[in-house]
Amino acid sequence: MTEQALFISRTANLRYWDSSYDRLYFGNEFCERLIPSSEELTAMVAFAGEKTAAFTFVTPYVTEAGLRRLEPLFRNLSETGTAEVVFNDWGVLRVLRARYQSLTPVMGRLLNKMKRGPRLMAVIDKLPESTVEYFRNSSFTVPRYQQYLGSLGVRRVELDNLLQGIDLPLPNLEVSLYTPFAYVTTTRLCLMNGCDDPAHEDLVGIYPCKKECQKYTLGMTSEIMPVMLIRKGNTIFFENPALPLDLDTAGISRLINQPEIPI
Amino acid sequence: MIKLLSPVDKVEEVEELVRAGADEFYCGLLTPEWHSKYIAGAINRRPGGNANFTSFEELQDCLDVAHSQVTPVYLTLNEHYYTQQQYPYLQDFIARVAEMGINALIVADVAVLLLLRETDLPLRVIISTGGTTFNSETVKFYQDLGASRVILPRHLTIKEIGEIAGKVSGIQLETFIFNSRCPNVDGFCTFQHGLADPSFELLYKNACMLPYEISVAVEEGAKLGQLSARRQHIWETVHVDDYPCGACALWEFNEMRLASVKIVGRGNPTKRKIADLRFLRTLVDNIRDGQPSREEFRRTARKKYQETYGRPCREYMCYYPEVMTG
Repeated sequence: MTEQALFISRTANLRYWDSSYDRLYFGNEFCERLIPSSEELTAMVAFAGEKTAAFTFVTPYVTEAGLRRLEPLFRNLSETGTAEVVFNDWGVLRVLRARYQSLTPVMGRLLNKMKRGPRLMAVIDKLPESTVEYFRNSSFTVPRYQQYLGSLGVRRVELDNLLQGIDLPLPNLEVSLYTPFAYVTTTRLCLMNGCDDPAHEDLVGIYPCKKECQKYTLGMTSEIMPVMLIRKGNTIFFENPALPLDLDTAGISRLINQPEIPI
Repeated sequence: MIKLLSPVDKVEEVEELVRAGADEFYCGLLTPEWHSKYIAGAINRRPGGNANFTSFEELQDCLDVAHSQVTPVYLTLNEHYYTQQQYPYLQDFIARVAEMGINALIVADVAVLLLLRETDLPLRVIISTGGTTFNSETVKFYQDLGASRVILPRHLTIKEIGEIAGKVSGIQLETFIFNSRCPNVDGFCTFQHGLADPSFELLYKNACMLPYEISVAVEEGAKLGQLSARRQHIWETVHVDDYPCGACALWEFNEMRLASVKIVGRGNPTKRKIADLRFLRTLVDNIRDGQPSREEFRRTARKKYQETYGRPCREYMCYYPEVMTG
């Protein structure tokens, strides 16, 4: 039976919760400025507890400043009991391993480097079989890598639902699948920062922002891509609602449902 | 003194590049055997032939010349991931280039690091920018796996780089200084490079350089849409080819004792590589010999940039724009 998780990045989106969910995912994968406050995290843990649902805290890649913001949250979380932490940064895993061993690390989708670019679908029928196999596979097929992840306490890895398909199952690993939004690329040179201020047209860098990502979403259409790209904040996504037909056979033990793009 | 890491992809340019100021080289090797099997599934992020040596013999010639100039050569094996089916080739490839005398491999995939850890080959390991090292704990993660140098991502401020440098020891750090200020984080970017030859522009160009029709999916309309489209257009048109530069930060990077700065440009014409090296060599020598203040150095760097490339500094072409905005 595939576990159903609801993934939200804003507390207000608890409105999407219903009894079909077994687990609450909360947090952000793409920007350390969107790491939740301690109060928000505590409230989400409490909500999951009330619903007798499991809880997963989702974390982004981080600078030193981001690490300093995460550590108190890990401390609080580890004191409240058991929870999962999705890491998208090897340094975050190192911190979890060193100081918060009661928290279960889950390898986030940013560290799964499979190619997501939708342009692939324009040529996939013309590529050699070995190339297509490459794009449907990952480094998770390498036994020494599986063993290494296991030695770090990482049993679960997370995948996006790719247009070209994924060769599954992955032996020796638990697999989560994000649906319906897959991320394609991300940046710290956020194009949405200052996007409503003409004076900032040329300013693309790592600057203070007004969290414009919480207000605007852009569509990006190209004739060479079969789906529209969606720019939300510092990250580009596409939507692929078509799930593998048989999740059990594919070895997908958890679906991570994103009613909105989680930024 | 901080070193200049230069791209190299032709044997005949090695000596010229050393004379122009290269302290170290990095390069790629893409054999017909790999390329025919994994078109666009590159071995080193550059599926195009002109960015790579195309035979072991060419690479050996490059090594012989570079080593005669006492200049190390690092080989990119930095695709973000490889599959189990690719490992028999990779293992042979690694053993052969080690025997040839490559000084280090530049690697992004942790699974390849694990393979290298199992071997006793005389190879240093450098973590590619594809390793997404944004903090000191990640540096230590790679250090634990045997890395001797980490190439930091393009997307860090000078201050953030300084914080990392201050918290690690026993490992070298390298950062970007010139060309190709990619808009996206290399190691988290899952667009494919080079899905077709240059005659199919929409497949050949990097996806971040394509023209897109922009629509505002949420909230207020036209004004934001037009503005955002213009900002997107800045990246589509100039981010790769218009001389992005971080030279003003050389002063700080030298103070931080970073090991090296990287000039992007595998596949660039030799003339362009020489110009980039001479520009940066002059500035590194200026720090060494003139001991300028930071402000004096920045004035020199901006003047030299204008002289060399015939254009002024611009914030969106600056790797570390905080030097311009304060």
